[in-house]
Amino acid sequence: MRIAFVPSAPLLLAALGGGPDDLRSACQQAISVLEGEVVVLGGATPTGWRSGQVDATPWGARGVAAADPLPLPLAVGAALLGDRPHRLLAVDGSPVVLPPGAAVLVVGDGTAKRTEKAPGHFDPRAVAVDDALLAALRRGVPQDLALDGVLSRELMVEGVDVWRTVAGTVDGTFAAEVLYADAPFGVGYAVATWIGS
Amino acid sequence: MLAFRGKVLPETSLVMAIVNRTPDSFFDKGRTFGLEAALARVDEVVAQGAHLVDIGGVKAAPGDEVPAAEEADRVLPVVVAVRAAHPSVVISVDTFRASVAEQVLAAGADLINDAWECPEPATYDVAAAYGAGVVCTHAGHLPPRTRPHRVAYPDVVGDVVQTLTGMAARAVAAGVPPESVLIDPGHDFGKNTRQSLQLTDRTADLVATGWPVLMALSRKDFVGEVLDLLPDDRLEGTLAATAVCAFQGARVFRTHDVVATLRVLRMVDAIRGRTEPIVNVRGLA
Repeated sequence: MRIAFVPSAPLLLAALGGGPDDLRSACQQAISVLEGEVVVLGGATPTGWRSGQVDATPWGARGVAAADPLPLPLAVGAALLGDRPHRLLAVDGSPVVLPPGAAVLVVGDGTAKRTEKAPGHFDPRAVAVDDALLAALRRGVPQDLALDGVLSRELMVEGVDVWRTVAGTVDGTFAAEVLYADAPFGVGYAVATWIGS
Repeated sequence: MLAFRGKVLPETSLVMAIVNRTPDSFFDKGRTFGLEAALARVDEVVAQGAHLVDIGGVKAAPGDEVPAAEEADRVLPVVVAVRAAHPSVVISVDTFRASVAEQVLAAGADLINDAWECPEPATYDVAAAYGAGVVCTHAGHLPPRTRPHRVAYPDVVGDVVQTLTGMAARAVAAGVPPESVLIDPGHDFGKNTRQSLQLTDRTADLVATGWPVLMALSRKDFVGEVLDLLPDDRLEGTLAATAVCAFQGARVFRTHDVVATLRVLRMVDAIRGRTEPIVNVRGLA
């Protein structure tokens, strides 16, 4: 099983600038390890299989709003995958049943309180939470992705639900590689790949 | 599309930088009269991002007579040097004389900016012969280098629209490429302050003609009278007028202040959805 992890920042959408070059290229590199049909996992409600359009107009892009816009993490995942075959699954932290042999793209990011100018202002607890997540991504142990829910919400960790779903759904050990770990705008971004043995 | 002798300009709002080889223009007062100073000013405005440079050898207001030969002596060396140093910048020359136009076009200029309602119709024929562009400017039907005195119009905007569309049609009939014709309502030229303000307010009427509109607003008296300020203190007023005109669709802005004007135009273009923010982080991280 192959899994890639990317952030769910709106700025990764091309219509909103596409994000910093190093972050965007790390995301593309992570996606390149996925084989076959990809299941995109993102925290959103209602849960379940979703279809719809990548639509940046809710975040201020010019144009006509889509009739069926995707929620942010699924939109980011779908946009990064482009023409590659994929399905979209909204999750809320509960375990899910994945199609056998599917590659998985996990869209979520860390705290939003890393710096004074961060979206949630500075919180001294944030860096430890992001470091814990990073350590889990480096170890390749799914169960370690189950962060503390209460603390994560206080620190505006939007990835908390999708990572809990991964922790409860995926078994085994993985060869892990972290391709990007930084908080250029005060939000903890991590890009990583897990390749199952 | 806006293009001058093969130089296609971007679809954004554009800046034409003023470079005066004059000893007596109202704002720079001879600062770039010397050839070296003029060329250094061109290098500076090109580096700042000006899309066009407008080289002039005769001040607009009444003053010392400048014969055609002397005007050519002032502007020609600048055109030659700028053409060599900046092959892709659009070179405009501010002149109302067909003979000067002929010489600068032969030296590589791209555009003739006649600010006086084309007193010498041969100017359009000369521009056509070189495949160059022209600015058609409303000057209140006054002779060159005169000031308005009690100029009255039944409908100033209507007069400007009618005059300029007629001039643009004559330029194209003479053979000037249609994508190289600009119209300029000529703020202050044959107009009092209220008339210039009306033209600013109703920029959209000029834009609706379909001809790309050039606005020459920089530090002019209509700004000075609104604010009771001398030219040195007219930047903010000029930029306010610039924003109002750009928002209504005027395309090219002739200015002494390139960096400030470019910033205002980029801001207006972004508001209108014509250009993207340079940074995309706030609320999107």
